[in-house]
Amino acid sequence: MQEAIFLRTFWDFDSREPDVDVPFEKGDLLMATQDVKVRKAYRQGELLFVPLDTEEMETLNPKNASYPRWKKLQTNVLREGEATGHKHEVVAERAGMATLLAPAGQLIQGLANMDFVGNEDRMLVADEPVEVVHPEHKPIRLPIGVFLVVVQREYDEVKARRIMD
Amino acid sequence: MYVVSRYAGWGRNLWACVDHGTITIDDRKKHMHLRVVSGVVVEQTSRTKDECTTLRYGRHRKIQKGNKTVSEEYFEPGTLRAIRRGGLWKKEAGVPLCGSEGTLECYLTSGGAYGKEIFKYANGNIAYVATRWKKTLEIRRPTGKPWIMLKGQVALHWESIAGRLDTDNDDLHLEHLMRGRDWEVTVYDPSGSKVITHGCVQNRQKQGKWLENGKEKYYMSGVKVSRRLHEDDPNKWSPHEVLRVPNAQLRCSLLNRMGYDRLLGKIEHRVIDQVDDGGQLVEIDTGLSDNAAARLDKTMRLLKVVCPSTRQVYVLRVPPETKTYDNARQWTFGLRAGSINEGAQFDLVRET
Repeated sequence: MQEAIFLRTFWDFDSREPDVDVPFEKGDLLMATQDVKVRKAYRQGELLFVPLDTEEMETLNPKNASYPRWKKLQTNVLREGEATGHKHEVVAERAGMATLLAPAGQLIQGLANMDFVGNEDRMLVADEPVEVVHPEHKPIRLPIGVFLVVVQREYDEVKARRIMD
Repeated sequence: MYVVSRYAGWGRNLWACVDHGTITIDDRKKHMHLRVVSGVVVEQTSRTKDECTTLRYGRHRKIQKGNKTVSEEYFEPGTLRAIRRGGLWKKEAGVPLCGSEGTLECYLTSGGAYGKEIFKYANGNIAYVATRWKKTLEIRRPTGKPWIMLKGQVALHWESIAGRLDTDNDDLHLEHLMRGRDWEVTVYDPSGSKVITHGCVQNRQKQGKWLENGKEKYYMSGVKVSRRLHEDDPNKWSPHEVLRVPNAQLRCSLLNRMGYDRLLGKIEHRVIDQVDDGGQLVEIDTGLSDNAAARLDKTMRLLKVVCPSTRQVYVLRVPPETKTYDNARQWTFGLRAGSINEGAQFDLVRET
């Protein structure tokens, strides 16, 4: 009987509506995310891997968008060097556990504090820890998650352009 | 050991505890036999139409096709499947190499490192003997004539050299075989007397004159360049022209050839900021006439960065209003200049 009461209380506690004020409204949470100044990232050569949380994924790829922002790529090559032909490749232990997405051609609003997503930027969805390999750079291991892969950029008199390698 | 079945339907699933005995599973395509002692699987045999795999934990794994043993792996006693140290750990038959087949033997050192690999063709000729302690590797054809000569440290690991050689590709992808940054390769034609490919790799990049499938090619830090550019005297190059090369890798190659210090010595410059790893933020005079400067900047701010993997120096152009090395570097990662000034930055967990 004691146990039953405990279970019911636990269940009730778990499913009840919150009776205290929520500290943030939805908009506030967004502001809170935007206020995050220092964020973690990984780097291999000219590529920067920025881990994304659920809200950022929604910002970059809204579910109710009127047109597709990203398209799925049938390759594991993140980027190929124009001069050397060396490739940054994603290696997963099991097939289909890493997916690459490229901008579908429309302008995509970047993350907080960042510029717009470039045509050469990618989104990497890793369903298991993956490794990014390159003939010159040491392999880099990425944890499970979704990453925005940003290509380092250079200043141009006319506009900032992405690094060509 | 527990035997559990799923998806058989309500009330039809199996859940049984086996301490001693044998379990036989028969499928249309596969027959499986397990022997259990004290609740632990000690032996497992699976048989299909073509092959039979016997796995004895702590002893070996054997794959047979017909009456022939195709592959054998030996395990360390007292472990499940840890490969045996201090001797032969793998023997494979029927491994393809250079249009023929042969036997592969892999050895481990007593310390547990991949020590030696021997490949023998079916006709008895040895293709290669690769060892951990030797700095050369000679791969021969089934006829016994030399095929590939490698000078440098060869990487031995669980995947054999024969398996890693991409013989379908002209390039052979020899970088998969090498461990070090610097190595040299020579490939001979089937007669074994004529060299068809020869060249050096420095810092994991093709460097200097290469003979590739009988054709001369020239490389500067991995970038294919013309013979003229390769033989040109870098002293004659204009530093401003080098800095305006749009491709960062080619610019890096030219800079390596010319020397970063020599380049800065030739032009008016001012070091604005520098960091311990050799990175600098430099402002240089572009040397443009007033007419040209109406369209283009008269001064250029350059970020000198050193790659942590290759130790190569790259020079990237950054906005003229950037004031510190860190800010300039953060800008190249795509952050807005205004946000950087307000404290936004990337904290790089890992860099390669």
